[in-house]
Amino acid sequence: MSRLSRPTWVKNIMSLLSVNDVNVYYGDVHILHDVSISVGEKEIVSIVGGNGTGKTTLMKTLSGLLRTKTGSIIFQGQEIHHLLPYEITRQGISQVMEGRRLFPFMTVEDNLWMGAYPLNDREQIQRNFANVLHLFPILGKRKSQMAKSFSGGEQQMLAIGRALMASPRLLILDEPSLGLAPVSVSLIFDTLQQINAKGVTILLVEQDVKKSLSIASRGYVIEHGRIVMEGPGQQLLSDPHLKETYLGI
Amino acid sequence: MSILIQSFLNGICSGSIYGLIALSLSLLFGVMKIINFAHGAFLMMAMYFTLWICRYLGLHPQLTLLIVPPSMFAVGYLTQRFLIKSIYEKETAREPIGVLIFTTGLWIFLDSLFLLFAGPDAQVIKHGYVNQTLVLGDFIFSYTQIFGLLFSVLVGFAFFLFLKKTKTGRAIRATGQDREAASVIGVNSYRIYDISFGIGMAILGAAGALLLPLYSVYPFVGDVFGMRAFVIVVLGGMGSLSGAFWGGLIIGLIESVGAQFLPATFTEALILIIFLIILYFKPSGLFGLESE
Repeated sequence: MSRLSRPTWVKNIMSLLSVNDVNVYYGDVHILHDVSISVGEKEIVSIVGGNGTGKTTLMKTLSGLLRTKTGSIIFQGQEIHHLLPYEITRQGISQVMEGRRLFPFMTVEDNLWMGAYPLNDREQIQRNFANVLHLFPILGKRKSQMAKSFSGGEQQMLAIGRALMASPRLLILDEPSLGLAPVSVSLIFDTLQQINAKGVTILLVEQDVKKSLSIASRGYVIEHGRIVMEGPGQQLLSDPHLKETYLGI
Repeated sequence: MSILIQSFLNGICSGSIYGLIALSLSLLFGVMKIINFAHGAFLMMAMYFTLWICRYLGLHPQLTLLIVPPSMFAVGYLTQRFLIKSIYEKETAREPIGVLIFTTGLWIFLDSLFLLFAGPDAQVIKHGYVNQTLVLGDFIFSYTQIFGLLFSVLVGFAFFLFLKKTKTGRAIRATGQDREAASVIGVNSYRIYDISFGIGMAILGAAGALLLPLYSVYPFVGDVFGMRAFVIVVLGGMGSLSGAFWGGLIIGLIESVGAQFLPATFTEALILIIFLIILYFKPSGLFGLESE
């Protein structure tokens, strides 16, 4: 672990996703400055930072909603920063967007089926559906209910379930704990570990520094649109700067 | 009394076709968030297609329903794909105002085009079927009316089933509810727009083919129906598809029953007065703002 330097072990990890010196603008405003991150196969990687530091911008860039001005994003050896959002999803990246972004006037079941939109294999879809209901039994009990009638925690489960319906290799989550009761947050983080244990790589963006770094194999700290620290999750948690800035210790 | 019941039934028949026109307008608004000002002009185009197919191919008016909706699907699909899409792409970050201006231009263009090539005269289908009637006790119906009602309900029902049960239907609803979220889960929203515009125009094509035996067609005929469709869509609740269909029935009833008591020109005013009263008390329309 170090500040602003790149330890050799980072390069040794087989990268599933690598973001290389990416610069992103909103109009004339420069939001992301030379951001580089890598996510290895079957890792949980967490990006932490305060409000307005560029976390969501980075997520939107990864999903193709925003374009990079310079730099590249490589997933499974292929450049994806020129692709449109739906093409990126079809490469095997599913994203749970900030605010969950469910289809409020569709049932739980329809929301889940929509998650499988990129797939054509009916058996695979049925298997994914059964797996999601196994992971979140409440979704099965209330599958004909409208998504808008769910509580925040239940909506987050549905949003994660919907993302898993596409059989992703990489699951990206933008602030999954935002606005949730602590008990729901713990449940969500436990579930993310279960999902990871089944072989799905997870990239997590969070304001809840302690929780997200404690489950992450590696983490990055983003400030003012720049990656300022990186390292194994537990080690980052013990860094004095991080402790002082984010944990108030 | 029987006159009142007869006019009530007539209202339901014509209202169901208005419902289809409004349904297609509401689909475009609900999914693409655009107001298609050329809607009436496209309806006029569908009515001319129907007229020409009957006249030059000698087909029975009912059989035009096999040709006009698919042709209008193609017109809608291509219009969206090659004309509207490029404007839309430049306006993804804001309300598609450019598209609104474009559809207004298209409306004027189509009206003028048909004026140029089809002439200003009102034309009707000349076919025995148009004048056939069905007498049920005290009530007299034209076959075209009854067929219009049955076919409209069938199209409306099939469309709702399509939206609820098929993969593309679900993607259309999802895109209407949250376009960005839909694209992030793998939906090509521009393709959904192409299909939605095509389906909207196909439904409008069916409405045109059902209307023509009941009305005459002339280059500005769409203005009347287009304006009525706007009233219906707002009355039913912007973006509410079932609201559009029910709104159509309500307007059909007001028009038909009102005509029994008022001169025809006042009926038009009555529609707008009731429209304003409803909006005053329920600004989101009768069936709310909920997308479906």
